[in-house]
Amino acid sequence: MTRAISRIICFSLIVFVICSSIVRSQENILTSRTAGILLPLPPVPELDSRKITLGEKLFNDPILSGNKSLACASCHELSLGGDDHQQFSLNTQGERRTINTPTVFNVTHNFKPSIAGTTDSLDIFYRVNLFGKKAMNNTWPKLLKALNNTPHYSTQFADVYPDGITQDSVIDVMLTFQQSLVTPGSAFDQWLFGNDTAISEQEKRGYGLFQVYGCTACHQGKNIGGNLYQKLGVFEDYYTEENVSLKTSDYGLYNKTNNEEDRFYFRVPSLRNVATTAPYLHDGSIDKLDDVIAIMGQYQLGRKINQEDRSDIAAFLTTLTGTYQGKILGLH
Amino acid sequence: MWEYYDSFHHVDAPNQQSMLPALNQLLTVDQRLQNSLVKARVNALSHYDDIVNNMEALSTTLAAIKIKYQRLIPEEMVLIQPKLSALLTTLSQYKKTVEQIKSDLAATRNSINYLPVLILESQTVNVNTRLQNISINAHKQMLALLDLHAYSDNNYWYNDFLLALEIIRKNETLQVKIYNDQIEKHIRNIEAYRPRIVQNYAIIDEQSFSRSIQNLISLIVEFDKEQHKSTDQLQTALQIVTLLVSIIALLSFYHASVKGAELVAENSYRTRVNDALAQLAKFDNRVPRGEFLDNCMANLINVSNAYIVFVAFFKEGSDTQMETMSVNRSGEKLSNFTYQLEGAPCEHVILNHVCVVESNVAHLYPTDEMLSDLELEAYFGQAIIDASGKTIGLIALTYQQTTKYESWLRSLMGIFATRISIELERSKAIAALHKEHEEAITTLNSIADSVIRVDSAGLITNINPVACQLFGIDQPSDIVNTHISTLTIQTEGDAGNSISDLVSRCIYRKGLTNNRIELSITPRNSTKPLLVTVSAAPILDNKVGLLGVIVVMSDITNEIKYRQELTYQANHDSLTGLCNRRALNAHLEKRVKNSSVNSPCGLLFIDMDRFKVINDTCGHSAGDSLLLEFSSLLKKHTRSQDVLARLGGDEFFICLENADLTVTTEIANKLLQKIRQFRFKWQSHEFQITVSIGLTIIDSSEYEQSQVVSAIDLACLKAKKSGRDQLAITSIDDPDITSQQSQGLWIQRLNKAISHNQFELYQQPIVKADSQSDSLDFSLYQHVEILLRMRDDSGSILMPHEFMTAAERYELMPRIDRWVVENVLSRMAGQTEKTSLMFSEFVAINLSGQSLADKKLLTDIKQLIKQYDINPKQLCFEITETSAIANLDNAIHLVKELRAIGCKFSLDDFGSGLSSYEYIKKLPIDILKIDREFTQQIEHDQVNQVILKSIIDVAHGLGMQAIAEGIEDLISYNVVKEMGIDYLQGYGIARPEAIEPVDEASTSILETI
Repeated sequence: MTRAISRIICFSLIVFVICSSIVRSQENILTSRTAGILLPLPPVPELDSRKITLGEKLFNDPILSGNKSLACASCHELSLGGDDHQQFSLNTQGERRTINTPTVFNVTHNFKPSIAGTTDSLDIFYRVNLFGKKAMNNTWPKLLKALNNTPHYSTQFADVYPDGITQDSVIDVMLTFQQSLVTPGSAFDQWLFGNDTAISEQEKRGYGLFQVYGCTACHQGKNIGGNLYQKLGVFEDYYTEENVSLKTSDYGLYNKTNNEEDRFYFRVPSLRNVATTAPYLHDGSIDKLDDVIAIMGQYQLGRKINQEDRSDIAAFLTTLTGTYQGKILGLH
Repeated sequence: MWEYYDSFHHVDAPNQQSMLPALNQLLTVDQRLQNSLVKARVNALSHYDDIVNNMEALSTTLAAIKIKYQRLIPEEMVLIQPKLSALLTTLSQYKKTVEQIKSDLAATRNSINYLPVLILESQTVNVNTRLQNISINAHKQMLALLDLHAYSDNNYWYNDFLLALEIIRKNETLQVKIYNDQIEKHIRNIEAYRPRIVQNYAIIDEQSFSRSIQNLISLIVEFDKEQHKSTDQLQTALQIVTLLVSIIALLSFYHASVKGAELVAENSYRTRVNDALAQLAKFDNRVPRGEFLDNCMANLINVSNAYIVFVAFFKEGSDTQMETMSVNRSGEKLSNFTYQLEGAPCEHVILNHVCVVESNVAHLYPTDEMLSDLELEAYFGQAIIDASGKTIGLIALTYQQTTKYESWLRSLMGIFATRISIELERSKAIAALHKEHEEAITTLNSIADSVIRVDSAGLITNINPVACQLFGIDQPSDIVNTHISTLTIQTEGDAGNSISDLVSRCIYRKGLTNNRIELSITPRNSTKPLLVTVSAAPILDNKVGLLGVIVVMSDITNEIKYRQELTYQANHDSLTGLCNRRALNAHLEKRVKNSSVNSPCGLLFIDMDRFKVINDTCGHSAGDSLLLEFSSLLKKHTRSQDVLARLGGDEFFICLENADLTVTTEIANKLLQKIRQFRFKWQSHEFQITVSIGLTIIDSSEYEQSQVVSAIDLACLKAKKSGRDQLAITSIDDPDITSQQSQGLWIQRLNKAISHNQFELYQQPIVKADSQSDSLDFSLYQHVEILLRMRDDSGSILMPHEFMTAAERYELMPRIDRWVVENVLSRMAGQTEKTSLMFSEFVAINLSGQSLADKKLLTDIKQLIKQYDINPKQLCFEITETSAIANLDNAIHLVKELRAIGCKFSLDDFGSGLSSYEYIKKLPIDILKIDREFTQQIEHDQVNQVILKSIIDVAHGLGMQAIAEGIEDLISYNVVKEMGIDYLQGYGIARPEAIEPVDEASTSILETI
């Protein structure tokens, strides 16, 4: 009898939840139209501070690379905006890589970790970069051995992980640290939160233009981009036949899928901190924000954006620069 | 994403059942995703974060399901595995499609938004340059086409578009040309992506990830149903209803998405239609059904500009008449009406699901006078179809002017019809749920147990009337929201063991506490402690965790009292209050095991020498009185630790604790002396009593109980043989026990009687109350009770009370009963000898208490019935209340088994023992045999008359028959008969008689009766 009663009660609950979820989801249709196209960045999540300390050490330690010449921080300078301002970074062999180093900030808010869609999860993305010949060129046994031979790592790992230094714990430290690499608190976010004076009139105008020109078709959501693939060259081919510099890396998603439809598709980059992450585009070929706005207008929107509007939009884009560890990025 | 993943940790039991909530979750996420995609298509989705989150949730959830369940799926369910893998493949395809949709929508979004601006600007330039109207019209046409067909899968619009573009081109100036180039560029952009968008949306519809999940769910539910069909219907029903509700939910989403897609093609009416749909979506499940329909109609008339709209359903019980549920004329609600289907356009709707008459409807349907009365021109009807595909009603729009049935209106009516149908299903489901809830509440209120529900903090949320009564609460509201501990007074004794402690433990452990814990509690406002059994069970929920605890209590104070009474009854002699044979046996068994030279035990077997004389000369009452006085005499002269028992009749037994031969002999001699001095006075007579005492000592645990019994039996026999009124001692090792000398021992005599057929069957007729005969004839023997006599070696007849005590002591009753059953059955079959039993319709056989405890007897009886091919309906077994109580479980089993094949049972000597109706309830009995005690001189005894009448009434009330025993004369025969008794029995009707063989002549007479 008790069973029966509790079942009946549970059952009524289930039904209630289902019924109310129907109501709620239908209300969503109504309210979401008024919801913003751009959303504020979520705050830094609560994380295990011991893992963050460890993560920060690893991030700055060349021990991660095969010949101990490069640390993550070598190409991702946190104070600069999470990249190295180079068109192409050098790998452990001193060779140039073929894709511009993207920022390491706000990566957890992107829908795919890599710009060309090579991997689906950060976990695998780390392995590709740690052990790729053209990246850090390390191996697990070598890395684990090196870490174990460093006393402060072995003790600190043992503090946090019962099994100490393992593949899983190293990856977990990196994943945790990655989650801390977010830049909330930008002027624009403050404005979104209701602080009217957080951005200037010009910047507001720029935000209006950003919408009117239709940039928000791709650059939207909390990360202002980073949540879809888009073809570079919607209205015109970005690479013309005369352009001899076309490289494999320019094929984007095609390199992964080998599907002709995916040629020149890249993950739309997040515009957060965009003012601090020059040079631009996947090949780091454009140095100035103003130029890249013009290119976007021409190839992606089929519109010519005039000089005045471009500088307004650029002004708006500078408001997207957020803070890391309480400091605004890129000002030094 | 983590939110979804985490929820899996709540799914504990790793089986296909717990996969259901996981899959349901998957469905929900997919519904959200589909919802976002539909919104994206109608340009109502501001960003893709929703899609990304839901897609991630889908992947994570599905991966988690796969990992969690792939090894745990039972073997019968292996076919789930490939389905899961297939689901993963579908998902990766699905993901790819969604990604393309996202990219393509983003790539074309701006062109669609920008084109109207371009065209308007181009128009302005045209006006400024005084170009011909034709180009403006072309622009207008382009705008209209753009609005309507941006994502439609028809190709013709694009050609029309280019045609319009051509017209403009012919009239171009330089400035206009720039615009036209721009327009062309954006149109081509849309065109480049449009087919893929349309195709991808189609793929998503076709792939139907949701449907794959649903298939999987129904597979599992189906499997579950098979597995649990018999065991747990409630659970299956629950799952099915849950599934039903989720399918209804899904249906509404599905329709929303399908209709949403159609909306894309109807951009120009988007706002109005959207408003109507928004209103439609904004339903509140508390809104009464009538109001919901009124809202629908108001919305519909608002969007459609119709003159009259109405929704109608079949009139209850009719398939020719319709009854409207809501009618609206130009925004004003009208009263409902009933109308005939025949000849009306509505008939067309019912038959064909749709009826479209754009003009002249009154002429087309001349018999429908309403059409002409209202001067209607156009009629659009849409059928409302329920979940089973049956048409149950319709929505109709009517116009007073010729009206075109636009495609958007068609879609809208479809949506409204579907929505109304879903709403009806939903309200039906809710009503069913409500009913179920009400039933649960009613059940809760009507259970005999106290039920209290507390929340996770221990506060009472529900309390049923029985619980209120138990705790002396007038109004449940007085106690709701107070802590459960306030119900009882805490006493020192129940530290850690009160109801609230049980509840806290249940909350803390989230597990079932021990079921039916017996507690003594003192309700507040009371000083009297109650004995209750308490069960506490947690109410758990996958999401929230512990919701509360259900506490079920039942007051067992009376039950315990009753149980104690029963135990006492089973172990004590009802007359003297001494232990009975059963209790003595149990005590002896224990005592023998613990015996040694240092812990000896003296046994006395006391047989009254002249009891039979007193009983016979002064009657039963005198005998009873003597036994009572005698037993108190024994009690007086023994110690408190000694065990006294009456074995039946005039035999007593004393077990002297820690008494060696010297002490025992001393006590026995003292008893002899005291008994000699004792005088029993009855009326004017005075009797001196003497006894023969047998004595033996148990001083070793090696002895068998039967050895002990034989030894003391022999001692008593010696005492009697040596002239009574004396003590005889036998040691258990005494060789006499097995020697010739023990010939007089009961065990030998009884064994011989069984093997040499020294028992004789007697029968006593039982007459039907409506029988006319008052003389002895053959028909008298149609209903008989079988009685038993034993013929001694000397040829004298022994009555049952003379040999039964001994037979019980040696546990020979099952053998004797078996002998009786076999001999009676064989005579009934006419095999052993031809007797009147062959013609008896109803033969009652007594079964002793020991036989009830004998498990083999049941099979033997069944086998004998089969062997002699006796109709079981002719057999009735009589058991006594006392023997039934002592072996209640066995008795119930035996009775049930034999009744199942048709035998009847009667409860003998009813009223002489505990006379509790409780037993009648427990034992499935057909007949009550009312003890002779109540029929003695019934004509003078008012009290007995009342009792007798009430017993008869109860018997009849319980569907039993009643037999009155001890009818000794015609007066009592008539008195008892007047009371409505069914059968009578007694010396006044017929005395017991030996069952004699009948001769051939009698047989033939018998056969003619």
